[in-house]
Formats: sequence, C-alpha cells, structure tokens
Amino acid sequence: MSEITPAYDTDVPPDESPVECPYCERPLESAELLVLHEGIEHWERLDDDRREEFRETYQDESDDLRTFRLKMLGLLVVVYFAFLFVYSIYTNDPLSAATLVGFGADALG
Amino acid sequence: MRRPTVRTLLPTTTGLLLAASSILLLSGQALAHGGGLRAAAGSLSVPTWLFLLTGGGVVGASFLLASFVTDRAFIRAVHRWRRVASAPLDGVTTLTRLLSVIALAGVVAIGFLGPEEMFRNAAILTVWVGWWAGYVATVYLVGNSWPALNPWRALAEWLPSLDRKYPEEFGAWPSVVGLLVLVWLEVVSPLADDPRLLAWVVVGYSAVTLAGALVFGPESWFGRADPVARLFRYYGAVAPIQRGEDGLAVRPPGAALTDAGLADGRDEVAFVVAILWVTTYDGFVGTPFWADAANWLVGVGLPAVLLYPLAMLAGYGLFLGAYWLASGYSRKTAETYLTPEAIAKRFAPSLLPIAAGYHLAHFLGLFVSLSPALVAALSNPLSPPINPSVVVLPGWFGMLAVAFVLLGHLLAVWVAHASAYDVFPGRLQAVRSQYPFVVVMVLYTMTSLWIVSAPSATPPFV
Ligand SMILES: [Zn+2]
Repeated sequence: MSEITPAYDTDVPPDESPVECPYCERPLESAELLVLHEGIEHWERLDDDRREEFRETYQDESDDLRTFRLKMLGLLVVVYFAFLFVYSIYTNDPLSAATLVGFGADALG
Repeated sequence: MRRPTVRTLLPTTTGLLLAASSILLLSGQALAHGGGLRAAAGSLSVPTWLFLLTGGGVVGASFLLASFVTDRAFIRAVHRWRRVASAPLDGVTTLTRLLSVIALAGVVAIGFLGPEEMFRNAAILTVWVGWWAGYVATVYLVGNSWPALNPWRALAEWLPSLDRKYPEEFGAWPSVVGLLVLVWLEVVSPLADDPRLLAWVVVGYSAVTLAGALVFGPESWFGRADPVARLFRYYGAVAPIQRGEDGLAVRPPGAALTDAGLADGRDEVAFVVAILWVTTYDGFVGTPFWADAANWLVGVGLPAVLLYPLAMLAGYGLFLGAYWLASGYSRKTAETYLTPEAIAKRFAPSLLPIAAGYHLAHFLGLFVSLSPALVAALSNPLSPPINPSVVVLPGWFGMLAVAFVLLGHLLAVWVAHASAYDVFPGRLQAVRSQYPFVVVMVLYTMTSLWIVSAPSATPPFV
C-alpha cells in the first residue's frame, strides 16, 4: 500500500463532475472508485471510518466480480465446446479428440 | 457460501489452459516438419484457418482466465516479490567491456579478412548466431548485461566528449528510426551471408554511434538515441534479474514490466511497437503472399527500390495505429478519465514478452543448429574447417517454437492484467480496460501464426 502514486494524465469531459482524491488530486469517476482508490493508494492516511467504508466497498465489488466471473466461465465453456465441435468435424485423428475430451473432463470435473 | 479463491480456481484454470494449449500444439504438429517454424500449409493436419483461430482462441481464453484472478493482495505479492543480492559489479564491468571491445575489433577484422563462406566466417557466426540469436535470448531470459558489455559505450567513455545538450524533442525517435533502418537493411541486403558487407555495416554503425556519443555524451546517446541499447533495455525488462538501486534483484519474469514509467512518452511507446513490428516484418517478407503483392505492385509501376521501405512504413503505421486505437477505446470501455496517451504508455511494456517469445521461436533453432560451426570458426578464425558440423534439429523442435510464441502471449496477458490492477481502482474497470487490447492481441496472434505457417518464399527484388 504505497503512498507514492505515479501521476497519470487525465482528461475530464467538460459535462462531467468528477470526485477528486484529496491526497493526490486524481479525478475519479465515481464515489465508490474514490473510496477504493483512497484505500489502495493512501491507506496510511485514512481514518477508521474511511477504512471501514473501503472494506465494505471492496466487499461489494467482490460480489459483483463473482457474477462477472461466472459469466466469463460460461463464455469459456462455450468457446471450449465450440472448438471441440469444430475439431471433431475437421480432424480425423481420434487421438487428438480423445486428448481434448480427457483434458476437458479433468478441467471441469 | 465458499468464495472462489486463487487456490481453488487454479486446478480448473490450469486444466483449461492445458486443454487450450494442447489444441494449439496438436494443430501445430505439422509445423514440426523439417524442424523449422515454416511448413508447407498443405501438410497441416487441420485447415489453416482453424489453426489460426485456435491460436487466437488460446490468447482470448487466457485473458478470460486471467480475469478470474481478482485478489489484489495476491497480484501485488507476485509482482512485488524480489530478492536482492549486492554484487561488486564495477570492477567486473571494466574487464567485460575491455573484452567486448576486443571482440568488436575481431568481428571487423575477420569480416574483412576471414573466409567468404558464411558458415565458416567467424564474424558472421559471432554476430548472427552468438550475438543476435544467443546473446539476445539471454537478455530477456536472464537479465540485461548489455551495459556491462556494450563495446561502443566503452570506447565512447574512454574518448573525450563535447557534451552538447541532447535535444529534448528528439526523445527516443532516433532509436525508432535506427531500429527500422537496421532491420530494413537486414532484410534487403545479404547482411547474414556476406562477411565483407557485415564488416562495413559494423564500421558504419560504429562511426554513427561514436560520433553521436562524442557530440552528446555517452549517457544521453546510449540512454536516448542508440537503438541497440534501448532494445536491450526493453528486452531486459522481461527478465528475472533486474538491476535496481540496491544491487541485483531477482523478480518473477515479466514483473518489472508492470512498473510504471518504463515507456514514458509517445516516442517510447513507438519504440516498443517498433520491436514487435520489425519481428513481424522480417517474417512477412518471406511469405508467398508478399512475393505476389510485391510483383503486382512493381507490375503496376511502383519502383522496386521503394517496395521494402514503403512496406516497412505502412506496416509500422498500421501497428502503431492499431495500438493507439485500442488505447483510445480502452478509455471508453474502462470509463476512465485517463487520457489515451496515459493508457498507451502504461500498457506498452506488456507487448515485450510477445516480441521475446517470437524471437526465441525464430532464433533458438538457428542458435542450436549452428553453435558447433561457431565454435569451430572461433577456434581457428582465419582457416576454419571446410565443412563445419551442424546440429540437425529433432522433429519436435517446431512444436517448441509454437510453445514459445504461446508463452510470450500468455505472459503478456498476465502483465497487462497486473498493470491494469495497478492503474485502476476498480477491478471490473481494470478488466474492462483490457477488452480493446485483447481484440488487438488476438488479431496479432492470428497474423503472426499465419506468417509462421505460410510456406517459405524468397523475398523478390532484393
Ligand atoms: Zn489519491
């Protein structure tokens, strides 16, 4: 949790009102992202309330991520079986198909 | 409810990754033909489009897998891990530099005076097999030892300097131009076959480099303008051994690429993209597609002499444009206030493992097969054996090359993932920032697999 943040060039569209980090002046896109940014980059300078807020926001984000990961896993499985299907058409080498199914069973089982 | 963690996900992800790579390796089996990377397209056991799609699919899948790793503490721990050893480097450096100055003089002398056959000439073999194939690989696999060897820097530091101020607006641009020119020269001239020509090019490069260092001082010249020193600096950032302020440090491979500030400015981003492009260009001009295109272009009236420089610039423009376009879109998908330039600078280093992977895939075979010839030529530079022995590569070597290409891409995806977590406070935001880059990377993988699987053709008009 370093205190030194590399300064990034930012460009805020004129019709938006960003929240700004009080420690490094980086404009953030939402109040939640500001809480996360402060917790990650300026942990030492936060009071207990703000730290608690960070923990809750991070936890909420983790819940969102779980849903996201499930979608990604679904996509991965679809891609995998699409390839398996295409390979079953185009390859007449039974060994490779068997290997793939074997790996798939290991991976998903 | 049990939350999925890195540890519980690991078996699943490795399983899927293995499955994905086995697809690529099996479909790439035909590449083993002849031990080289290229194989006749007709001998692929699956249609070429499926082979390319599988390569793209593996890169895409590896991005999906990386997005499962969402534990900030874990990612930081991996990339901040380092072990430091202090080593007395300065005394050793004087000796290594002295030796490499002698080696440079030897390359020029043997280039002019040695036998004219390429496989017997120690200068050709030292430069291409020893240095460009073997030594460069140690730079990204072990660490950047070039500052301790660089013979031109050693000479420049022994000579006086005018110490003029290096023009700030030049930045890294001279090194970008230098890299493109050197690779263009390598493609259009028999630089790897003709020892006399090689010696002249080494003399020419030495003259330009020493003149530059004389005017602007070695620090500015090798820090900013010299393409070779910059190339090694960037390749070295992939390696596990890094030189820090407190001595030599060991870090996980690629970890240094996630540090901010490695590519600082449009010019340095341009150099990183140039590294990737020249690797591709080198392969592209050897495809039948290029031979046909070149014949057609000359047929409709394009002067043949402009063919290669134009292809070099057009392709480079395309690569650079695609990267900047992706950076612009990344600002949108991540919904961030960071400028496209800030994003482009932060993620450019993640392209370096890809370039390293291709380099290893291209040159490891060359290094292994010609090493005995190099040793034979070095042991008796002026009259080496008439028929030097050459190692015949086993059939599985082509598969090894495909594996290196794949590993480079996987490391790149991981580095970009870790960098995104460092830049963006939101973890979903970090993953979304990578969408445009993944699209570009998948397209790039398919392009380069297409190049390596195309049958070999002699570049026309050279
Ligand atoms: Zn801040």
